[in-house]
Amino acid sequence: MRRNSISALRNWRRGPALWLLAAASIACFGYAAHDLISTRGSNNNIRQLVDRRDVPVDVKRAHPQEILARISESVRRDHIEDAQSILSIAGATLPPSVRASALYNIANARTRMAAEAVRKGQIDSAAAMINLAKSEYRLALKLDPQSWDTRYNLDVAMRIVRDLPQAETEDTTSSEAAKKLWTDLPGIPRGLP
Amino acid sequence: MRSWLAIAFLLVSAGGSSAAIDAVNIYEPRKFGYFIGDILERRVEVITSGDTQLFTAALPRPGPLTYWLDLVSIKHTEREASGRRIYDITLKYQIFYSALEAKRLDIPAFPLRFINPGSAAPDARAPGEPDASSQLGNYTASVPALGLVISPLREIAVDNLMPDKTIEISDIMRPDAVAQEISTAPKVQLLALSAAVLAVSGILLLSHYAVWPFARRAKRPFTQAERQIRKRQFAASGEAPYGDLLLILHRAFDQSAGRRVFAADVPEFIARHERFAGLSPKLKSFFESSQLYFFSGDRRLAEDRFPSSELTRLAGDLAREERAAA
Repeated sequence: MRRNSISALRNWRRGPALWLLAAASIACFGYAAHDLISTRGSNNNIRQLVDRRDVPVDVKRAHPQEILARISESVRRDHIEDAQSILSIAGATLPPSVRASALYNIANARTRMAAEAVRKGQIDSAAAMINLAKSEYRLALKLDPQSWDTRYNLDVAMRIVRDLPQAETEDTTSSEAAKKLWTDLPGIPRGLP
Repeated sequence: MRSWLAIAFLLVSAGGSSAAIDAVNIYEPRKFGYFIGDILERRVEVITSGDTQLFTAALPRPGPLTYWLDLVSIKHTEREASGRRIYDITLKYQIFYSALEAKRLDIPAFPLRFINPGSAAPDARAPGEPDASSQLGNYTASVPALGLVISPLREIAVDNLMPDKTIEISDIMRPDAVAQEISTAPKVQLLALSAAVLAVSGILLLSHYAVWPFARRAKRPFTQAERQIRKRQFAASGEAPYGDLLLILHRAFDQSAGRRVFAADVPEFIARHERFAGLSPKLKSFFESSQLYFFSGDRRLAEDRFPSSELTRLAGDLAREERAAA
């Protein structure tokens, strides 16, 4: 009797349990299908961008790799500002390694431009670009310290324009100069009579 | 492989205060073989006694320390061991020095300041005043300088970029990072799995309710009877001939028991199918009114006692119990 009542209880729930299972599997199926379709779309975009076609990407919804592809293509077309704005919009949501790769690509573009400027003899603009590139390489290395390519290219960038500890030397000279200026000033009141 | 050195401080001029720094242990990483971008970790362990607190506001802040070195993070924890308070300070540095040849650079020494909450707060004085350090000398542990040998990462001779233009910068640089396609295999697997579960649950549901492919299920006479009754009722808009409905349900009983079931057999039927025990009063009245209808000829009375709506409900209950049973 007791065993019967237990099995009765178990059997009693069969209908609702089946409905629940069906509902759960429908939800899971819908999610998986949507996920697969959107991933296919992302992969299609990535393939086209890697093939150097200028495909627009919805930055707020796109997969990180899609954003990386978009940034790389913008960089290749010398639209560094576009690449940077995409990165700053998507920045917080990207995983560190992808963000590091995007920064690395942007910095590479700047380094190449700086090398070109050096050849043309425009040392000042080259130095400005290299400084930006160096700070981007440094940020990329902080996000992904294991990236040997980033280290290598940072080393290359540092050699294009000489890297000196400018801030420190400038500081000491300027403060000395300031002091001198004050002591040499004529007409400082010497106190009340 | 970490070398460590311990600097024990002898505290002579404690000045009546029981608070003191007893020892500073510094666990250093290796001192050679670093490249640009490498991260190194130093651990400083300060053993204090008495009421001593680390002055956290005076700790170095994460950020660039010099043009070649960044402090990535600094963490400090506090623990008690045999009446002493031990501070663990972990410093993470990252090197950004591009070496032409193996070169030694020093991470400068810096102090760790401690305060005694019982005495005057050290930040009450201006930081530049000379007496601040002499007063607080007892509570300062010094972390010594660390010399690191940094090695070049690549051959330097190659980058002669200047006007002769024999080498392109892109030949020297490592290539750009390329976006990877997203793997769809796990998503396809999930889709297939959920489709399979959906199919299985659909089939189970169909069999549970004895719908189309399972409509002829021999085990479900009451479910079929219920469906038949409902169909009749629907077709005749609730005015189906009472006798037909009774017969349909009777056939279902017969099929379920495997032989003819009459009013006298009801207790035996219930004894065999315990599941229907809850419905026994209804079953009895069903058989009674059926007897009235078919054998006494008082059809009106039978239908009043057990109306067809009641009959439909009984069929539904029976069908539900039958489904629940298997």
